[in-house]
Amino acid sequence: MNKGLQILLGVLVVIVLIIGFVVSTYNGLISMQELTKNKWADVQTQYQRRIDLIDNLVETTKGAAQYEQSTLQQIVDARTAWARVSAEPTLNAQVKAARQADPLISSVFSRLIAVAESYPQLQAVQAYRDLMVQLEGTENRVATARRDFNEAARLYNLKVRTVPSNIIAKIFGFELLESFTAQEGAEQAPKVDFKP
Amino acid sequence: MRVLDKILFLSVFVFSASAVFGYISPGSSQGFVNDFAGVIPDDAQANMESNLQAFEKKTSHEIVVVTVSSLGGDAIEAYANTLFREWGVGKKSADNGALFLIAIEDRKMRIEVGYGLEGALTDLETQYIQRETALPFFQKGDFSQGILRATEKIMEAVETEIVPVRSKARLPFKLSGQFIEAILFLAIFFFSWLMSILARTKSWWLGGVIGGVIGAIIAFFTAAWFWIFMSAIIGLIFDYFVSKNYHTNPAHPAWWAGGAWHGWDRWGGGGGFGGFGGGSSGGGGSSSGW
Repeated sequence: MNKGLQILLGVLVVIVLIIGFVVSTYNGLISMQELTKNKWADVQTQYQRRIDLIDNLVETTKGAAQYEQSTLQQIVDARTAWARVSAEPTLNAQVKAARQADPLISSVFSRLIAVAESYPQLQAVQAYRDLMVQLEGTENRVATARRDFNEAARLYNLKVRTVPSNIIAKIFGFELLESFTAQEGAEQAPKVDFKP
Repeated sequence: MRVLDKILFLSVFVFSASAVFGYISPGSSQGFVNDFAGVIPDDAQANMESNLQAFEKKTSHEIVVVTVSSLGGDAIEAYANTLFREWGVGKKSADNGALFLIAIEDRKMRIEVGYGLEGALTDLETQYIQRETALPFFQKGDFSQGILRATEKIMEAVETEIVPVRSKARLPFKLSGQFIEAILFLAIFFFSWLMSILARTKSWWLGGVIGGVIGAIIAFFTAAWFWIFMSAIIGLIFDYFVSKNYHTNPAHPAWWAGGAWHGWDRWGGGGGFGGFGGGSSGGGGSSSGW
């Protein structure tokens, strides 16, 4: 049994192992990337649902509540800001755009609900109460979708940054993902008053 | 709690990386009815359990009831979602699960709905069920009746919802821990037997063939054709080294070339509720209190 063949075989084993590593790491990165795209799509769905409910809210309360022009303009601005998100070409650009649109949407909601609450007779309207239930449900879904996306992004980023998968990530050009966190400055805990 | 406050409070969760602060699992599932707070008498619980089991057999939807004494400071939305996912309520591919959570001391309840049932069991519907069916009984302290009636309403709502339950490679048996141990034991035995055979042959192509066959089986289940190739190569190399060793030392093969029997004495405990289908929830449903 000559030495040359032994060495050749040893090299072959190493090559096979390396190929195996490269392929499985690359595939792992790809599937994590797909997962984050999936979760981001969920976030967009829930945000869209939220925005559609804004229109519902205005419709339902139109009879009783008076909305100032500035408020209605805010609604238009929020909708435009959100429409801009899906127009962005890359996932990271979309997340950045979403981070900017989010405070606009939130403040529209706060404004609308505050106005509606100043008309106590609305509380008696079934359609209004139903809408409040739907709004709560949607807010919860939005929060859940964001958490899920951020978690998927976190795991993907970990894989991109840790050794040894970061080598493969670098070779094939996998970029880090932005997470959908609050814009700086917008993160003040609201004063919550739990009156029953 | 005023709706505005509640909505603002919920939006705070959006800012926290993990809103699962303070969550302590109530335990593992014991069935479709999990009365951790101990407020449902045994006969009522058995009755509900058989109802929900029969429902699952008929429609494949998993409707789960959980009572806990306290949420431990957690918000019921976060708690319910975490529990829902921890137990995997609903079938994995269909997400057809619903969780009715009642926190006795906090006086709060929530119906959390999986993606697959959201069409039939809308947020509004879950609120009606809580308000009109469960609430009157809960206010009187009759949790048993309230929960029973509510689960009936839930079943009514989702009965007509037919979800496609897809599965990739259908295994005809359940993968319990015992089963996996048995397979592992068999695999180790088979492997050491295989080693003894391969070592005794002078040629080394047999290893490649076996590797290829195993690879083909794996590929059939995972569609990773790449692995047939890898398996074959690894089989070839493996057999080469194994054969080589035997033939240089036929009288004293290496310790790993034996076909000895290795006893495996622990079969592990089993039994208990098998758990749910691995479904998830996106946060749908609604909460209320009494």
